[in-house]
Amino acid sequence: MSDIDLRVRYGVMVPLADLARLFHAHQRAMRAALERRSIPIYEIGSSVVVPLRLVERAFGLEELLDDPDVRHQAALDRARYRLDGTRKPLEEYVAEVDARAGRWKASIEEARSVEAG
Amino acid sequence: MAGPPDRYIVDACVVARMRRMGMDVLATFGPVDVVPSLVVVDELLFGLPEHHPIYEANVGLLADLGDPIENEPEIFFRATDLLRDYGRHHEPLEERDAMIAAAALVHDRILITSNVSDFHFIEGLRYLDASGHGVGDAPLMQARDVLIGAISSSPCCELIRADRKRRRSRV
Repeated sequence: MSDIDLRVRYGVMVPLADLARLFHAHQRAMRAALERRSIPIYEIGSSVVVPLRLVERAFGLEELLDDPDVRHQAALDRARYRLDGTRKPLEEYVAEVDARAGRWKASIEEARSVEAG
Repeated sequence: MAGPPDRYIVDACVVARMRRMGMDVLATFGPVDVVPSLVVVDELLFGLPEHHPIYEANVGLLADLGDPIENEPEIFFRATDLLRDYGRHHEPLEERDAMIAAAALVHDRILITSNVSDFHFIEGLRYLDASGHGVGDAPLMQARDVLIGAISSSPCCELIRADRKRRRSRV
Protein backbone atom coordinates (compact mmCIF):
# COMPACT_ATOMS: atom_id res chain seq x y z
CA MET A 1 0.00 0.00 0.00
CA SER A 2 1.28 3.47 -0.83
CA ASP A 3 1.74 6.30 1.63
CA ILE A 4 -1.42 8.06 0.41
CA ASP A 5 -3.47 4.85 0.50
CA LEU A 6 -2.43 4.28 4.11
CA ARG A 7 -3.44 7.82 5.06
CA VAL A 8 -6.78 7.43 3.29
CA ARG A 9 -7.37 4.19 5.20
CA TYR A 10 -6.03 5.04 8.65
CA GLY A 11 -5.37 8.79 8.88
CA VAL A 12 -2.11 9.78 10.58
CA MET A 13 0.72 7.22 10.39
CA VAL A 14 3.65 7.36 12.79
CA PRO A 15 7.14 5.90 12.33
CA LEU A 16 7.84 2.88 14.52
CA ALA A 17 11.19 4.43 15.45
CA ASP A 18 9.47 7.54 16.89
CA LEU A 19 7.06 5.39 18.83
CA ALA A 20 9.88 3.32 20.29
CA ARG A 21 11.64 6.54 21.35
CA LEU A 22 8.46 7.76 23.07
CA PHE A 23 8.28 4.57 25.13
CA HIS A 24 12.06 4.39 25.69
CA ALA A 25 11.96 0.97 24.05
CA HIS A 26 13.99 -0.80 21.41
CA GLN A 27 12.30 -0.90 18.01
CA ARG A 28 12.22 -4.70 18.08
CA ALA A 29 10.41 -4.73 21.44
CA MET A 30 8.01 -2.06 20.25
CA ARG A 31 7.29 -4.01 17.09
CA ALA A 32 6.57 -7.17 19.09
CA ALA A 33 4.25 -5.26 21.44
CA LEU A 34 2.31 -3.88 18.47
CA GLU A 35 2.10 -7.28 16.80
CA ARG A 36 0.73 -8.82 20.00
CA ARG A 37 -2.06 -6.23 19.84
CA SER A 38 -2.71 -6.99 16.15
CA ILE A 39 -1.74 -3.49 15.05
CA PRO A 40 -0.79 -3.52 11.35
CA ILE A 41 2.79 -2.49 10.58
CA TYR A 42 3.72 -1.17 7.13
CA GLU A 43 6.98 -0.55 5.34
CA ILE A 44 7.07 2.56 3.17
CA GLY A 45 10.41 2.83 1.43
CA SER A 46 12.97 2.67 4.18
CA SER A 47 10.65 3.61 7.04
CA VAL A 48 8.31 1.44 9.10
CA VAL A 49 5.02 3.08 10.06
CA VAL A 50 1.92 2.25 12.11
CA PRO A 51 -1.54 3.87 12.39
CA LEU A 52 -1.35 6.41 15.23
CA ARG A 53 -4.96 6.08 16.36
CA LEU A 54 -4.68 2.31 16.71
CA VAL A 55 -1.59 2.74 18.84
CA GLU A 56 -3.40 5.28 21.01
CA ARG A 57 -6.32 2.93 21.49
CA ALA A 58 -4.22 -0.14 22.14
CA PHE A 59 -2.20 1.56 24.86
CA GLY A 60 -5.05 3.70 26.22
CA LEU A 61 -3.07 6.89 25.62
CA GLU A 62 -6.16 8.99 24.90
CA GLU A 63 -7.60 8.04 28.30
CA LEU A 64 -4.48 9.32 30.04
CA LEU A 65 -5.20 12.85 28.96
CA ASP A 66 -7.19 14.84 31.44
CA ASP A 67 -7.79 17.87 29.27
CA PRO A 68 -11.49 17.90 28.23
CA ASP A 69 -10.73 19.46 24.86
CA VAL A 70 -8.26 16.69 24.05
CA ARG A 71 -10.74 14.03 25.20
CA HIS A 72 -13.35 15.70 23.01
CA GLN A 73 -10.99 15.37 20.05
CA ALA A 74 -10.42 11.71 20.92
CA ALA A 75 -14.20 11.15 20.93
CA LEU A 76 -14.42 12.79 17.51
CA ASP A 77 -11.73 10.46 16.26
CA ARG A 78 -13.77 7.50 17.46
CA ALA A 79 -16.76 8.97 15.63
CA ARG A 80 -14.83 8.92 12.35
CA TYR A 81 -12.86 5.70 12.66
CA ARG A 82 -13.89 2.12 13.29
CA LEU A 83 -12.29 -0.02 15.98
CA ASP A 84 -9.97 -1.59 13.38
CA GLY A 85 -8.63 1.91 12.66
CA THR A 86 -10.16 2.28 9.22
CA ARG A 87 -12.34 5.26 8.34
CA LYS A 88 -16.06 4.77 8.65
CA PRO A 89 -17.84 4.87 5.30
CA LEU A 90 -19.88 8.03 4.71
CA GLU A 91 -23.27 6.37 5.30
CA GLU A 92 -22.17 4.97 8.67
CA TYR A 93 -20.66 8.30 9.76
CA VAL A 94 -23.76 10.28 8.72
CA ALA A 95 -26.17 7.80 10.33
CA GLU A 96 -24.32 8.17 13.65
CA VAL A 97 -24.32 11.98 13.41
CA ASP A 98 -28.07 11.90 12.72
CA ALA A 99 -28.67 9.59 15.66
CA ARG A 100 -27.02 12.09 18.02
CA ALA A 101 -28.53 15.21 16.45
CA GLY A 102 -31.71 15.28 18.56
CA ARG A 103 -29.69 15.94 21.72
CA TRP A 104 -27.76 18.80 20.14
CA LYS A 105 -30.88 20.44 18.72
CA ALA A 106 -32.58 20.26 22.12
CA SER A 107 -29.58 21.93 23.77
CA ILE A 108 -29.55 24.72 21.16
CA GLU A 109 -33.29 25.30 21.52
CA GLU A 110 -32.95 25.39 25.30
CA ALA A 111 -30.17 27.99 25.05
CA ARG A 112 -32.30 30.09 22.70
CA SER A 113 -35.28 30.01 25.03
CA VAL A 114 -33.08 31.02 27.98
CA GLU A 115 -31.67 33.92 25.92
CA ALA A 116 -35.18 34.98 24.93
CA GLY A 117 -36.07 35.05 28.64
CA MET B 1 -28.78 45.75 -9.52
CA ALA B 2 -27.51 43.94 -6.45
CA GLY B 3 -28.33 40.24 -6.21
CA PRO B 4 -29.58 38.50 -3.10
CA PRO B 5 -27.26 38.86 -0.10
CA ASP B 6 -24.60 36.20 0.33
CA ARG B 7 -25.35 33.38 2.75
CA TYR B 8 -22.75 31.46 4.72
CA ILE B 9 -22.06 28.12 6.38
CA VAL B 10 -19.51 28.03 9.16
CA ASP B 11 -16.97 25.30 9.89
CA ALA B 12 -16.52 23.92 13.42
CA CYS B 13 -12.93 25.19 13.64
CA VAL B 14 -14.16 28.79 13.34
CA VAL B 15 -16.76 28.42 16.10
CA ALA B 16 -14.22 26.68 18.34
CA ARG B 17 -11.77 29.52 17.79
CA MET B 18 -14.49 32.10 18.57
CA ARG B 19 -15.10 30.30 21.86
CA ARG B 20 -11.42 30.22 22.75
CA MET B 21 -11.04 33.93 21.98
CA GLY B 22 -14.33 35.00 23.58
CA MET B 23 -15.72 36.39 20.30
CA ASP B 24 -19.45 36.65 19.62
CA VAL B 25 -21.40 35.90 16.47
CA LEU B 26 -22.39 39.45 15.56
CA ALA B 27 -18.89 40.91 16.01
CA THR B 28 -17.30 38.07 14.05
CA PHE B 29 -19.67 37.88 11.10
CA GLY B 30 -21.80 41.03 11.16
CA PRO B 31 -25.56 40.93 10.53
CA VAL B 32 -25.51 38.20 7.88
CA ASP B 33 -27.11 34.78 7.42
CA VAL B 34 -24.66 32.23 8.89
CA VAL B 35 -25.61 28.64 9.74
CA PRO B 36 -23.73 25.51 10.78
CA SER B 37 -24.56 22.05 9.45
CA LEU B 38 -25.47 19.10 11.65
CA VAL B 39 -21.99 17.71 11.05
CA VAL B 40 -20.50 20.95 12.39
CA VAL B 41 -22.79 20.89 15.44
CA ASP B 42 -21.80 17.28 16.13
CA GLU B 43 -18.13 18.19 15.83
CA LEU B 44 -18.55 20.92 18.43
CA LEU B 45 -20.58 18.98 21.00
CA PHE B 46 -19.93 15.23 20.71
CA GLY B 47 -17.79 13.79 23.49
CA LEU B 48 -18.24 16.71 25.88
CA PRO B 49 -20.24 16.39 29.11
CA GLU B 50 -23.46 18.46 28.82
CA HIS B 51 -22.68 20.91 31.60
CA HIS B 52 -19.05 21.34 30.76
CA PRO B 53 -18.10 25.00 30.15
CA ILE B 54 -16.85 24.21 26.63
CA TYR B 55 -20.14 22.48 25.77
CA GLU B 56 -22.17 25.38 27.15
CA ALA B 57 -20.06 28.00 25.37
CA ASN B 58 -20.33 26.11 22.05
CA VAL B 59 -24.11 25.76 22.48
CA GLY B 60 -24.32 29.49 23.22
CA LEU B 61 -22.57 30.34 19.96
CA LEU B 62 -24.64 27.81 17.98
CA ALA B 63 -27.85 29.30 19.42
CA ASP B 64 -26.89 32.67 17.93
CA LEU B 65 -26.42 31.17 14.45
CA GLY B 66 -29.20 30.06 12.11
CA ASP B 67 -30.74 26.58 12.28
CA PRO B 68 -28.33 23.81 11.26
CA ILE B 69 -28.52 22.35 7.76
CA GLU B 70 -29.72 18.75 8.00
CA ASN B 71 -27.89 15.83 6.40
CA GLU B 72 -30.21 15.79 3.39
CA PRO B 73 -29.96 13.04 0.71
CA GLU B 74 -28.78 15.56 -1.90
CA ILE B 75 -25.94 16.61 0.39
CA PHE B 76 -25.04 12.99 1.07
CA PHE B 77 -24.85 12.16 -2.65
CA ARG B 78 -22.85 15.30 -3.39
CA ALA B 79 -20.45 14.39 -0.57
CA THR B 80 -20.06 10.91 -2.07
CA ASP B 81 -19.05 12.53 -5.37
CA LEU B 82 -16.57 14.83 -3.61
CA LEU B 83 -14.95 11.90 -1.79
CA ARG B 84 -14.56 10.11 -5.11
CA ASP B 85 -13.20 13.15 -6.94
CA TYR B 86 -10.91 14.56 -4.25
CA GLY B 87 -10.05 11.58 -2.05
CA ARG B 88 -6.48 11.58 -3.31
CA HIS B 89 -5.51 15.03 -2.14
CA HIS B 90 -2.26 15.08 -0.13
CA GLU B 91 -4.40 15.51 3.00
CA PRO B 92 -7.24 13.23 1.83
CA LEU B 93 -10.73 14.72 1.96
CA GLU B 94 -12.50 13.35 5.04
CA GLU B 95 -16.16 12.40 5.34
CA ARG B 96 -17.00 15.28 7.65
CA ASP B 97 -15.35 17.85 5.40
CA ALA B 98 -17.05 16.34 2.35
CA MET B 99 -20.44 16.74 4.07
CA ILE B 100 -19.69 20.37 5.00
CA ALA B 101 -18.48 21.26 1.50
CA ALA B 102 -21.46 19.46 -0.04
CA ALA B 103 -23.87 21.39 2.21
CA ALA B 104 -22.23 24.65 1.05
CA LEU B 105 -22.48 23.66 -2.62
CA VAL B 106 -26.04 22.30 -2.47
CA HIS B 107 -27.35 25.30 -0.50
CA ASP B 108 -25.25 27.83 -2.45
CA ARG B 109 -23.55 29.14 0.69
CA ILE B 110 -20.04 30.46 1.23
CA LEU B 111 -18.01 28.29 3.58
CA ILE B 112 -16.23 30.10 6.41
CA THR B 113 -13.25 28.03 7.54
CA SER B 114 -9.80 28.42 8.99
CA ASN B 115 -8.76 25.04 7.57
CA VAL B 116 -8.39 26.16 3.97
CA SER B 117 -6.03 23.29 3.19
CA ASP B 118 -8.96 20.88 3.68
CA PHE B 119 -11.14 22.60 1.07
CA HIS B 120 -9.16 24.76 -1.36
CA PHE B 121 -9.11 22.07 -4.07
CA ILE B 122 -12.90 21.60 -4.33
CA GLU B 123 -13.84 23.17 -7.62
CA GLY B 124 -16.55 25.80 -7.47
CA LEU B 125 -16.69 25.89 -3.66
CA ARG B 126 -16.82 29.50 -2.47
CA TYR B 127 -15.01 29.99 0.83
CA LEU B 128 -13.67 32.61 3.21
CA ASP B 129 -10.37 32.08 5.01
CA ALA B 130 -11.01 32.91 8.67
CA SER B 131 -7.53 32.02 9.93
CA GLY B 132 -5.93 34.75 12.00
CA HIS B 133 -9.17 36.70 12.36
CA GLY B 134 -9.40 37.95 15.92
CA VAL B 135 -10.96 40.19 18.52
CA GLY B 136 -11.25 43.80 17.37
CA ASP B 137 -10.95 42.96 13.65
CA ALA B 138 -13.67 44.05 11.22
CA PRO B 139 -16.33 41.38 10.62
CA LEU B 140 -14.98 38.59 8.46
CA MET B 141 -17.18 39.40 5.48
CA GLN B 142 -15.66 42.88 5.29
CA ALA B 143 -12.13 41.84 6.16
CA ARG B 144 -11.69 38.92 3.74
CA ASP B 145 -12.36 38.22 0.07
CA VAL B 146 -14.38 35.25 -1.08
CA LEU B 147 -12.16 32.65 -2.76
CA ILE B 148 -13.19 29.94 -5.18
CA GLY B 149 -11.90 26.39 -4.88
CA ALA B 150 -9.79 24.92 -7.68
CA ILE B 151 -7.21 22.18 -8.16
CA SER B 152 -3.94 24.01 -7.72
CA SER B 153 -0.57 23.45 -9.33
CA SER B 154 1.01 22.83 -5.93
CA PRO B 155 2.28 19.37 -4.90
CA CYS B 156 -0.70 18.79 -2.57
CA CYS B 157 -3.01 18.48 -5.60
CA GLU B 158 -0.62 16.35 -7.67
CA LEU B 159 -2.49 13.04 -7.35
CA ILE B 160 -5.85 14.65 -8.17
CA ARG B 161 -4.30 16.17 -11.30
CA ALA B 162 -2.91 12.78 -12.26
CA ASP B 163 -6.32 11.12 -11.75
CA ARG B 164 -7.99 13.72 -13.95
CA LYS B 165 -5.40 13.23 -16.66
CA ARG B 166 -5.86 9.46 -16.56
CA ARG B 167 -9.64 9.78 -16.81
CA ARG B 168 -9.36 12.19 -19.73
CA SER B 169 -7.00 9.90 -21.60
CA ARG B 170 -9.48 6.98 -21.18
CA VAL B 171 -12.18 9.11 -22.77
